[in-house]
Amino acid sequence: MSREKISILIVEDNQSDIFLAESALEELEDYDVELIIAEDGEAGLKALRADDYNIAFIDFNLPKYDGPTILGKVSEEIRSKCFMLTTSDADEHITQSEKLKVAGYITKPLNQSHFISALNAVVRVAVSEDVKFLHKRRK
Amino acid sequence: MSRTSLEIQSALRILDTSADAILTIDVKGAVCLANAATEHIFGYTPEELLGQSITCLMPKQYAQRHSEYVQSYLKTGLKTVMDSLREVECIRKDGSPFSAALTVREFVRDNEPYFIGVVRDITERKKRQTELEKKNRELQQSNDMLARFAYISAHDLKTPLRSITGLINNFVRTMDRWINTGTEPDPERVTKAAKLISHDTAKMSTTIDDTLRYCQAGENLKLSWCSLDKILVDAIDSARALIEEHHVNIDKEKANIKIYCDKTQLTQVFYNLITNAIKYNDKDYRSIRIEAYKQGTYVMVHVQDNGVGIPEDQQHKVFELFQKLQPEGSGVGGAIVDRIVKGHGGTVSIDSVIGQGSTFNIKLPIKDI
Repeated sequence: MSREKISILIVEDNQSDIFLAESALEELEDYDVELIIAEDGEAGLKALRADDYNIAFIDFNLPKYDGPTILGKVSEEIRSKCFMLTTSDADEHITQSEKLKVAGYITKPLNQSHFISALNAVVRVAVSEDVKFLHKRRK
Repeated sequence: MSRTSLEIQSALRILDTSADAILTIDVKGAVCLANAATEHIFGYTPEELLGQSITCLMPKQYAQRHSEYVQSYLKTGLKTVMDSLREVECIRKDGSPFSAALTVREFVRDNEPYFIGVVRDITERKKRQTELEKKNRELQQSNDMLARFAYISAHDLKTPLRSITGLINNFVRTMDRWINTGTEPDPERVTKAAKLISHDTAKMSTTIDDTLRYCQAGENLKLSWCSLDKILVDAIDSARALIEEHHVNIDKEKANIKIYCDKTQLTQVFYNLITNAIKYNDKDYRSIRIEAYKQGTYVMVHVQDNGVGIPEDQQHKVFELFQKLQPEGSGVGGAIVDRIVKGHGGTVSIDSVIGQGSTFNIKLPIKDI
């Protein structure tokens, strides 16, 4: 069975978190991931405007522009499905994400297996046609 | 002796057992009665005071107006000093002033108004109050610092710790997979993970060290009379490497001022200010001007640079722990300056113009009591 090719953008400045996301995405059995990494808000915004990705994971805290700021600046018609990445002790991040044009959010867990399961679920849902509809409705 | 006479004698003896001074005066302010305690409190024996004007026990400014106050009261009946406990300043026989608690009441005898006053020396009480207030201030500062430390420990250490936990957990997964399925780990990835863990532990170590240095700043001051000029010169010398690296021009006049302070900690203050002035500067020709002069019981030191300047809404961040203005900053230099200066009873403020530069104004008491 050939794996589906998908493109994923990660906007994240923490090197360890980038490493863990890379490792987790490598383990997605059903997908062949092309990974693009932007290490600050400005680079992230540039990347989002330059191309469409199946999924964009955007960290909440970033240098230059933070997550919400990027989403505020990016076009409403954006085709990349955006998910907010946040740390577990940030309730206000989650509430804020709900107001933004994100398809959902993921809290970065300490356990890599959990992270991989979460990513699997998110990717599976995000690349399906149903979510495109969901994404528009959330506006 | 008549019964009234006996009663009077008993009353007088009771007055004499009081530790507070008790005096009565007539409407002209002449002392009619003084108890034994006046000697201990004022230095005058009762005999010395009888017939004297009560104003001899008052500071000049009040003495001059005393008869006015009495007349005003008699005319208007408006009680200002009477029937309430007031803190006043009194003068002893030797001319020395002291703080006292005073109560005054009026009584009438033979249709004439008389006033009786009770004077308590509260010098000791005031001294203890000042000490208590000082201790409370120190305690409050200590509490504030502990609260900040707790917040920082939780917050700034959590991020690298979370990363380390994730990376180690990932490593265990990798090893388990090797053991269970034979899938070999990528040595480059494993090495990279180890380096990331190393980087995060170093970051935690730095955060802890910085926080401890911050806690120690302004505490356990080793005070002595120091030459302010020597402190400034030592601070400049310590920053010599950075000064030469950026070809910074330092302009400082000799300051002939002595200050009672902790030499090491004050040197740290000016070292931090000088190095910050050099770092936050993008000009080709970097310069710093240091000016120091006396202002009453204080010393003013201005450290002026031609750097990038600090926006007004960000200026408070300079002195707060881990509130960085630039990502490369440690977030602790300015906070340490603030703590040490405050620990000496001084203040620090900033004047700044974006693009032109900043001046840090340090105000220090020559000797903080």
